[in-house]
Amino acid sequence: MTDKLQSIKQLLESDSALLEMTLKEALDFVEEYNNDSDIKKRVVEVSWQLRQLKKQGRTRENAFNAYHEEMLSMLTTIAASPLSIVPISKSESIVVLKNIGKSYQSHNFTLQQVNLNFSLGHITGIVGANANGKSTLIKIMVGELLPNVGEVIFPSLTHNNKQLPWLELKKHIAYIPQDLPEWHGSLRDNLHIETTLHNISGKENILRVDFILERLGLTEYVDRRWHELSGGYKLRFSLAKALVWKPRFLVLDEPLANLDMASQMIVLQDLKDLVKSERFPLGIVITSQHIHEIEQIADQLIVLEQGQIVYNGKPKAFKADTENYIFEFTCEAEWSEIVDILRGSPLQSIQRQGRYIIVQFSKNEYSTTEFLTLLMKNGVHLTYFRDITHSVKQLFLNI
Amino acid sequence: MTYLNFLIPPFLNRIDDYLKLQAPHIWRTRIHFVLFYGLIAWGVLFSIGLFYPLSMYDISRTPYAVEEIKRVSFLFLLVCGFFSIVYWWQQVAKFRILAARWYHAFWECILFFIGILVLWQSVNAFQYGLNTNIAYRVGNKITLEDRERLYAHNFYLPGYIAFNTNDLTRLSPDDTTAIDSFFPLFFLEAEKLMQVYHNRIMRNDVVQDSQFLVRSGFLSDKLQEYDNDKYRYYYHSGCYGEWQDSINRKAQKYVKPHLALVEKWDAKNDEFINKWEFTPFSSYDYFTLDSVYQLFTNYDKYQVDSVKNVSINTLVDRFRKEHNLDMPNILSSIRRRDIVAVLDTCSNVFFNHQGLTYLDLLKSENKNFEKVFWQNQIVNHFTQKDLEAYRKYLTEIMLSMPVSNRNDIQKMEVGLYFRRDSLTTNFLSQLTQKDRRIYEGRMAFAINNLYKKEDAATIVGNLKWNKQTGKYSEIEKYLTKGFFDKVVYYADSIYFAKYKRSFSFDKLYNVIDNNIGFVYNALEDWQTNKDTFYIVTGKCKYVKRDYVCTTLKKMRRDSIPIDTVFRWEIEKIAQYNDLSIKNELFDTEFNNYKKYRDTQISEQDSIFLDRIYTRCGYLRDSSEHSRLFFHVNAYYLYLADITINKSRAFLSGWNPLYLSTNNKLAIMALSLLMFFTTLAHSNLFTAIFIAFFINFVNNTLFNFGQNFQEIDKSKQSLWLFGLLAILALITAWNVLFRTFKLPIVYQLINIQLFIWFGIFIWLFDSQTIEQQSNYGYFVLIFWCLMVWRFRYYLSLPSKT
Repeated sequence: MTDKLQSIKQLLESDSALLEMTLKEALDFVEEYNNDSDIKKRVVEVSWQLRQLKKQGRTRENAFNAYHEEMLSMLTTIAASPLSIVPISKSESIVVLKNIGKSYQSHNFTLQQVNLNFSLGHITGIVGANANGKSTLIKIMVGELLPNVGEVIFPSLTHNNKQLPWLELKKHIAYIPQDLPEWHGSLRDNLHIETTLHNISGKENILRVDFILERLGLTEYVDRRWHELSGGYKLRFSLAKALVWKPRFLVLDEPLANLDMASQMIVLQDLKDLVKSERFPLGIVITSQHIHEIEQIADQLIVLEQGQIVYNGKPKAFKADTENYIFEFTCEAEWSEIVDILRGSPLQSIQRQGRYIIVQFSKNEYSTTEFLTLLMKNGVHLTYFRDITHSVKQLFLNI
Repeated sequence: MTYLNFLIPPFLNRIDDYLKLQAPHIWRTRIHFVLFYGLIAWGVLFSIGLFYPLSMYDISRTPYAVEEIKRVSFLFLLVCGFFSIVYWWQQVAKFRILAARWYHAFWECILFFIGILVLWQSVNAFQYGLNTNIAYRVGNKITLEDRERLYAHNFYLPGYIAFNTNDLTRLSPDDTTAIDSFFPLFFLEAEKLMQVYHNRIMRNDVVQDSQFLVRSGFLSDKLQEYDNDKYRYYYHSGCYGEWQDSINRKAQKYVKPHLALVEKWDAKNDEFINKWEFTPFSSYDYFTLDSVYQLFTNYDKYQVDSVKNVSINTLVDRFRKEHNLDMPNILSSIRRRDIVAVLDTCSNVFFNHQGLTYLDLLKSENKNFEKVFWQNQIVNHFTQKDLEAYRKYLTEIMLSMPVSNRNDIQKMEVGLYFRRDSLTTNFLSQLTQKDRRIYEGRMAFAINNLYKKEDAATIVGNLKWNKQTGKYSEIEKYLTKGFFDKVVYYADSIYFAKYKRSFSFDKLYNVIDNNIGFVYNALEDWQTNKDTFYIVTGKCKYVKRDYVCTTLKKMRRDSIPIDTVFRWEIEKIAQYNDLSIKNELFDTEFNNYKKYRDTQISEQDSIFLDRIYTRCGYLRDSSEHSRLFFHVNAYYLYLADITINKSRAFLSGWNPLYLSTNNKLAIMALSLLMFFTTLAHSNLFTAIFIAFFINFVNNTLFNFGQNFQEIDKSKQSLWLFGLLAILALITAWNVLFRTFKLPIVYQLINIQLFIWFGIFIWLFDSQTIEQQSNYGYFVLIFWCLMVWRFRYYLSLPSKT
């Protein structure tokens, strides 16, 4: 905790350019270690003020400094009398799928014998091409779809050693579908109602909503209408609605599909930060076709292909013992030129996937530096380069 | 509602915030907004109605002016109310929240109901305001006096056609003292009456009073003055110049022949005074109609003779002899279900003294007879033992027979209870205090469920008559203080509220204006223009040195050649006798009359009278009493509208479904309510399905909106069975495909849906709309339970 506080303090004092990110960390810190609603409320207010002043370019004014000091002071106060939190076990399962199978006769698809375990405090990424069963799998997990065979078990959500009925289970599961349902009425009302429905009323309700809005950077957008929001903000508001009542299990179906790069990074970073909480442990499952982005944040990665799990493990653990490098790049040179340049080098293979060129060579015979130097010496201007040696993307490239 | 935020007062916003954070199930109903704006709408609409610029001309001159305003405003406001409900629904539909607690569904159900009630009652707010407006305007002293007089003489109401000897005053020709003291009064009244006619004609009042009628006559082409709509429109628009003079000319043109006749009458004024004699039709005298019923002076004699021919004594004696039974033996031998069966069968016997009499007659296989006489005769032949048994029997029926939806039983009960004879009084005197309260409750319930106009009219007639004549003085001793007045008032309210709009109950103006002892009633059905004309006198007249006791007669206005009416009258009487008597009547009485008529009235006369009566209806003697009628009617409508709910509440308990404007709205409200609650907890398809079918079945197929209308049970059963079959298929589909692999409890939930619908339909299997409204409460409770269970459906994973 002290480390976190120091880190936040340093960031606050050193670089106002990172203010947004720092404030989010501060808010997470407050959420994690503070139990005083007044302080929490004030932190939200101060955060809002700081962000507004920053946006207006008034970071050198006294007001900014005063809020700055107040924020530091409140964080210090919290650190002085922290809550004692029992860290959650990273192995504690939130959902266990046992021999799940589902088939659609109408379009000849079968999800086969899926056995999976999803843990609290983990982000699990499910990747796969279209129509390979990602959505089917998560719909079964959240109780939207009935499997043909198998069981969905929530080990930590039981009563008298019996699993709760779906009606109760769903009170702990937040599900954000790919096609976000339209919000009617004001955004704030929606958030309040969602919170109230989870038995959080009165001031606590208001505080939770204000907090999540500020935490996700949505405070200034809350007075807009749903149709006035961009796709990214719609998703973030949906995320706010899902997180405001602190679910145990958060499932997002293709959240990155319609987001620009910046929005993707914000959403993923938020998820990565939130899942760290020990006070409010949360398991996250996210499906996507953005393999690289998911690999960046996921603790566990599942690859589905034609209804079967072809990989289930840690992102960096894919082909951990391989002796080859696999690079993916694009350049301005013609394919024939590249082939000519690389002819003679100890390549094991070279192939073209659309505009991407994928090369594979032995770690023992060639190094990354040598490869890049060769290209640069021959005047090849690289526009994109990625080391996919341990990326599950290989599964989609027929390597 | 962001774009309407400026209309929301701060306190309402605070309430909104509070409910949002504390009670989302209430918040989502938006009931706070509905109540606030709905009640404001009430106030505004009531005020508009209250200050609506009505003139006495609107109220009294045109039969339908006020009604037209009401009808149009009702339709308009109903549409507004509907759209406001749609808008409300749109707001509600934004937030669909599952019932988290069992009582949430109930709460929402109640709140939705209140909301629907508030929005639709705004339709009535304007009507109440308008009624108050009318009541204020008609509440002048003269009108109220007229109304009271009308009320006081209103012994007979449409439908009450039974002859009753109590209505007659018999004077013996030998009792000169009585005659001397009795008839001078009538002569004075007649003189006064004639003078009024005379004055009115001299002042040309008829013409003046008929202006509007003539004008409206053009619009409806009653006068056939303009041969197409265009010219009528031009005329109506004033394109033909100032309408006042034009109308005067037209009116005079049509009144002129009439005036000529009156002048003719006027010329023999002295003769009339000195020789009180009614003249036949061909004279065209003003008193022609008054004198028509003199043709029926043989009626009384005829009726008595015909009854004598039936020989009640013989029949009863024969019955006893054949069965070797005394009445107590008969009663002791029949079982409970036999009593019920007898009462069921007695539905054909209206206001009779019933089961026992009918039991005898049923055995004798003679179902058509004059009931009142028979009943009296039979009771007169009772031994003391019989009477005791009869009382026990009545007691058993009255106190233990379930008051169900069997209208026949209810009618009988009412008839039994209010029959003015000593049996009822004796019966009451023998009851315990608790039983008397039961009796009152059942009586109230029975009246509350009257649905035929004839029933209501007869009840009102009986109640009033018996009350005025003190026949209830004995009975009242045993009733809760004030109960009887309330019942009478309530029954009166029902009658006027329900039927005044289609049946105008008129008095001849000579009675009204001169307060003479004759009571003439005219019943006119303005909607169908098939007018029925009642002429009644409650006392005697001295005609041609003979004392003539007249009784109730009935004939149709548009049949001045009276043969059809008279035939009908004879047939109606004859139907209670056997065929031979009927034929005999046809051959004698009817033909005699027809012969008389043919010799006395020409076709030309008939046509003239017909024109006077139908083309220039207002120009005849109804102009004045129609004015009065509409004053009275407006007043009664007002009274009825503002009091009927209270009366209902008194008699049947608080029933907001009934208060929702009328029954049609109640049913629509019920279905909308179900729509809302279902929408709140399940899905749109189900909600629409339910609302559609309820409205479709109830309103379209069975005309449930008609007050006191009997339900076409066969048609209803067919369609409800069809509905049930569809629901069965849906349920089967659900059970087989949706919850196939789920625990049995979920399958039971699905089956439960079907069961609830079955209960729903069973509850709707009742006779009257009022009962269905009441049963609606049970349905609502079941429905709430069901929608609460719907959350399980929503939480379950679907198969596809």
